[in-house]
Amino acid sequence: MRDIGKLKEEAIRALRGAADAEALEGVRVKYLGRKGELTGLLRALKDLPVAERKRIGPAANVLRRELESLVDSKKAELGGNEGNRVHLDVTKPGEKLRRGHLHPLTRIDKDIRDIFRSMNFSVVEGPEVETAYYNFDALNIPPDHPARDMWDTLWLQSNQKNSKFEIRNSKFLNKSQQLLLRTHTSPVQVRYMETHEPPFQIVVPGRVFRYEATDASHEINFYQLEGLMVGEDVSLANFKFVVEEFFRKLFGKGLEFRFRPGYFPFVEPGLEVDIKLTRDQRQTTNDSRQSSVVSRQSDWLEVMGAGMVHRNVFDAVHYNPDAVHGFAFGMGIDRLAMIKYKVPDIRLFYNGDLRFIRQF
Amino acid sequence: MKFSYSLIKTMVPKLPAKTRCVDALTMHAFEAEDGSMDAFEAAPPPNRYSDAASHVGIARELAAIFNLPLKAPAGMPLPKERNGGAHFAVRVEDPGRCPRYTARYFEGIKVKPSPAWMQQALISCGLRPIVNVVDIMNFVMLEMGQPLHAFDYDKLSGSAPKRIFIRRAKRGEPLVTIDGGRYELDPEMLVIADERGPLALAGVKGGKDSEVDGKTARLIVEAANFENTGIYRTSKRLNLATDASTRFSHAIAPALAEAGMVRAAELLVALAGARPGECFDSQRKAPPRRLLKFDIAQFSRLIGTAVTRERAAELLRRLGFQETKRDVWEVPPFRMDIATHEDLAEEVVRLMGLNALRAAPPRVVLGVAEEDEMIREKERVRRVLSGLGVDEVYLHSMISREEAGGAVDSAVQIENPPSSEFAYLRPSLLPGLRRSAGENLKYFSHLRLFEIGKVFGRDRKGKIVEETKLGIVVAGQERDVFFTLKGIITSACKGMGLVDFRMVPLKKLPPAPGYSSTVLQALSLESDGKEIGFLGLDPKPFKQGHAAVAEIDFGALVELAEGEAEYRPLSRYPSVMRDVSVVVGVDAKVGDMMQEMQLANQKLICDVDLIDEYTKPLWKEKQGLTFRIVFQADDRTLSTAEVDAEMKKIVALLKRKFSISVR
Repeated sequence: MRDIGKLKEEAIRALRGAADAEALEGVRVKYLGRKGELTGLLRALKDLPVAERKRIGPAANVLRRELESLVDSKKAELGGNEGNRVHLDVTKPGEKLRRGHLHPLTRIDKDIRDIFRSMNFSVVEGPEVETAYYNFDALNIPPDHPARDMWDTLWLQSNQKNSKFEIRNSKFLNKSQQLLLRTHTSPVQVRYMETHEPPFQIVVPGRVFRYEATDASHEINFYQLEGLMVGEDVSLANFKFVVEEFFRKLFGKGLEFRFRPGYFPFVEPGLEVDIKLTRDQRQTTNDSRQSSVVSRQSDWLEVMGAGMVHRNVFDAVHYNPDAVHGFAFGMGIDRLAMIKYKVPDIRLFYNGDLRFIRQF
Repeated sequence: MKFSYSLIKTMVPKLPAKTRCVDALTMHAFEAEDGSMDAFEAAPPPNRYSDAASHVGIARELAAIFNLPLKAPAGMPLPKERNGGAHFAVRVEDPGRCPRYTARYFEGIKVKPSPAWMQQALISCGLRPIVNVVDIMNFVMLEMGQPLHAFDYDKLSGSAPKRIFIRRAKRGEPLVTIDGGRYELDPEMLVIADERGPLALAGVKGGKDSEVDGKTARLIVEAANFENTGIYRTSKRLNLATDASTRFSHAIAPALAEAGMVRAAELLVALAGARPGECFDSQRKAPPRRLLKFDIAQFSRLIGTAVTRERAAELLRRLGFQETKRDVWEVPPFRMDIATHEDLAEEVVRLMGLNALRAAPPRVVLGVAEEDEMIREKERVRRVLSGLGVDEVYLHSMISREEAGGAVDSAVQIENPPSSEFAYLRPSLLPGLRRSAGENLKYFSHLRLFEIGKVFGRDRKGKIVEETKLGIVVAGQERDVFFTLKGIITSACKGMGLVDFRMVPLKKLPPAPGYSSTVLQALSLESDGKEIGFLGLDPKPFKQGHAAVAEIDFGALVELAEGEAEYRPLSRYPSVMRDVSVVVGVDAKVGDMMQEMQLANQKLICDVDLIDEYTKPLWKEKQGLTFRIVFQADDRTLSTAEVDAEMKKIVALLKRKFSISVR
């Protein structure tokens, strides 16, 4: 039986001396191969008396593991040298893996929803096809009154020619039930209050429609976000807090605010909110200088209409206007996106041009 | 609406400079903008036409804002006796539509140009001076907010006392207006008439027959109040909007009629040499005072800012409100917009300035902030699709008749389309996506687009149905647009948590817009036995390449998707991979072959995939396919012999069912 200490000394010396992979493999076979010296020693253990076996066995096994790891590290060392010979120009461009781009309105809508959810607002949606009742009547916008003309409405045909469907004649339709494309997200206020009891706070993002000649700042469809908070002690001061927090989170600190009177039939008092960006926030590229939003950027930007929910609206949803108060607000998501991303023309959002989309 | 600064300054002599007035109006009343020279613009909202759409109204606002004294024009008070007289008599036949009618007789009129100051004021406000009588009518309207009309007394029919009727028009009754417009009236409309017929369309426009001209010597001046919705409907029906009809449509106070008449009399005497005669007024007694309670505690709760009772009272007084007893306030007669406690609260806060209000965090019962499921799921599919290299677009909700194509019968038509390209609500996302793909192929060799949006149609009863759809287009020189799309949809469905779905060949598309021709190369997407969408090769390729399109009912997808993933034990035994290359007729469906293989042994076969396909000119009607089959058992390591036996079975199965030969 060979002496383990000597075997170890010999094997380690041989391993260190191996100059290349071939020599290293020779050494490995000599000691660790099937007929190798250490292997032989381990195999011979079973023939030894128990006491001997207990003495030599563990030491031999430790040596085997040690030699195996030395072989591995030597192999890596030699192999590494070989690797250096492979030519790799690390300055070549990476593989072009294309990700899809989300629409800028999707991005800002997400930002806006996140901010409001952080302030405990729920997010709900409503239908795009509405009745005159929800879009106007229930919101204290009376029929046959010029106030209704503030919203240029796209009406839907209730009686279609060439239709194979049986449709009630529009003459017999109640005026309140006439169908239209919602001109604002405010009808969802009414729909929500009809089915929920205060206190609550919600925001409602969604597509709205106007009868409009399109230009750089007008589109036939666009997005709004409606907000509504109702409870026993909701005040105009609470409104100010919530919108100021919102706009600071969306556009950054240092924003200036201006609140002035505004008229919306479904709120009283009614107000409008203007913001003024800081010089840094206004920094812009050459391209967007013509922007109708951005060109007046030294001025105040109108960003929101709002107010305390009118008691007639509470009446319409059978709330007690003397027991609860609420504030409501509405803003154009497209407009906020135009300000935030410095987009000069609202039509870019809806023409499907990927050269635009891929900037976001 | 245009205003003359110098005219307002005559009423508020200490008025600050024009730009300050414009700012003050914007911050405390309504939007205003500076104009050139003497003029500026202000936009009283629809509920303030009665009190603020006039120079005296703006002066009242500015005097209140700056806390300055107001000196409104005094005028010539009406006589006590107001029943007409020797020259004329009035009968209001429809008092509902005409809450107040005042008229006065004037003689000795000298028609001539009006003085320069009046002409200048008219010009500042965008009106053209004509002659004194007409100018006075217009000027008083601008100054006091009350539309007036002057009839040439000598052109009225009948003999003194000439009779004037305020009545509904008869069906088909004609009227030629002062600008030469010819109208056929109907009984919905209100007219001012003499015994012969209509003299004027009440509250809208005067008639040619009784018009003031250079020879006019005697007048009947009318200052009336007409019910707003009647005027609004008449104006819309005839498509005839005038300064007068606009003002009446907004509902103005009956008290204005008297104010207008008083001022007009003063000016006619001063500037046209008129001698005022008898007067008529349909209002027999003053309307009741309107009283509102103002409670400072209730106010503070609404506004959230502490204001003293004294401060609020002072602001209300500045605006012309009078406290009749403690906390009870009388509303000025011209204010048609004040009806509730909140209206009074608005008066106080706007005069204080909204910027001065406190901002305070709400104190609320904490609830869980939720998001509609559809919102969350839209967000998820957007994330999945963008990860797969698909770009998102937003397109219009309206399309043209041509684009509605085969779905035009059930598509929802816009009653007042702004143009033919926006005539219908889109019944599908695909026409828009296809158009967008075509445009984009001018700049990109290939593209992948998606949109999530509402589409609209009608059910069998004609009721409008709106649904959220997901549309995807893959187009251009992508290696294989259809299979790229199929892969995208497979990944997207899995990413959405749709566990059990299949795509089966579709013989014919439903009548989709823009796809009226039969599409053979299409699949329907099915889950839980329901068809929830389709994908297919667009039969009309672009010149830059083919397009594959898909449209999926997003609501159904969300409903069928399973929310939570669930752990399954990992096999502890290795899998074995085997490839088999076969030659088979081109008619054989790869999908069918793979399904057969998969079913050959559901216990051991965990995956089947197509990894290569090829053809050789020699083969003609045949194709070469290489499949990769992965075997794995839950409870043991599979032996070579076992896998060989399974492969043999599979080959035999393929030979029997698809007549393949192994290469």
